[in-house]
Amino acid sequence: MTEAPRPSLAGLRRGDALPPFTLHISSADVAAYLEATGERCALWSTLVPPLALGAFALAGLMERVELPAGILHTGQEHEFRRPLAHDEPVEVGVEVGARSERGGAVVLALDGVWRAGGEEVGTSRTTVLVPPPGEARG
Amino acid sequence: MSAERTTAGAPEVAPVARHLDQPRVDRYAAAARDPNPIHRDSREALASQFGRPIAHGMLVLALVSEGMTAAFGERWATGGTLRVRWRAPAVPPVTVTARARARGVADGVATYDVSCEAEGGEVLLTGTATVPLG
Repeated sequence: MTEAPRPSLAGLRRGDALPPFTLHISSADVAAYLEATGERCALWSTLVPPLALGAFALAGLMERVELPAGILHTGQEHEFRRPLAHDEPVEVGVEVGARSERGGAVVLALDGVWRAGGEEVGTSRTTVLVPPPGEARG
Repeated sequence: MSAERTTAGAPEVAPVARHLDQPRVDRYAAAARDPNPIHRDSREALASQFGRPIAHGMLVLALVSEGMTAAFGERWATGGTLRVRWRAPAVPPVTVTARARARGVADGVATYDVSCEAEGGEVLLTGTATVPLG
């Protein structure tokens, strides 16, 4: 079976939505995240740090689009409604909330909604800048 | 959890400082499943506008979230908000300090100006965070 081609991030338009995906963040995932960030907090022995959920959702997004060379992550917003338990499945939906172009550079705001157990547990807005093709050195 | 209150009426949030070196950035890339080569010793990182690997913005931002968690515990994950812009990349090895300065309290919600600075004083990130005081 051939995998469907991933859409180019820079080619997405306002209102475009990616197919939702589900994350299962295990205790081992949380432990590796905390070891990498250096945070130590007993709270996270059973719960997922909210920014870890943001990071894993962002990784899920990156797996589903073609990242242009030189892309820069310029801004991040979150609203945390409730923490997830380890291994609790969470569905991530992402759509393009805003798109603008200036001088060939594209700025995209990607809005994420996280749902678990039938309720919204958090939201995100990730802003990225895609430089003009001739200036992408990354 | 800190019980100290600032003059703005909001709880104090202690700064969080951490040394970000390339091994930590590599561990973060693996843990957060971030494949972007700009964060590792790669041709792409050398060819980028920064000329060397840079730390993940989300790794820098994690220090802000750590400080808010230390001050507010589960309340941070149950009603907290965060809105930031990155101003400059963190180039490892670098010690980064995250701070949250209370701006005020309104309708039971504390607002903080948050920032991360490199050891030389360069501002890496600025923004705001809010937490319900419940």
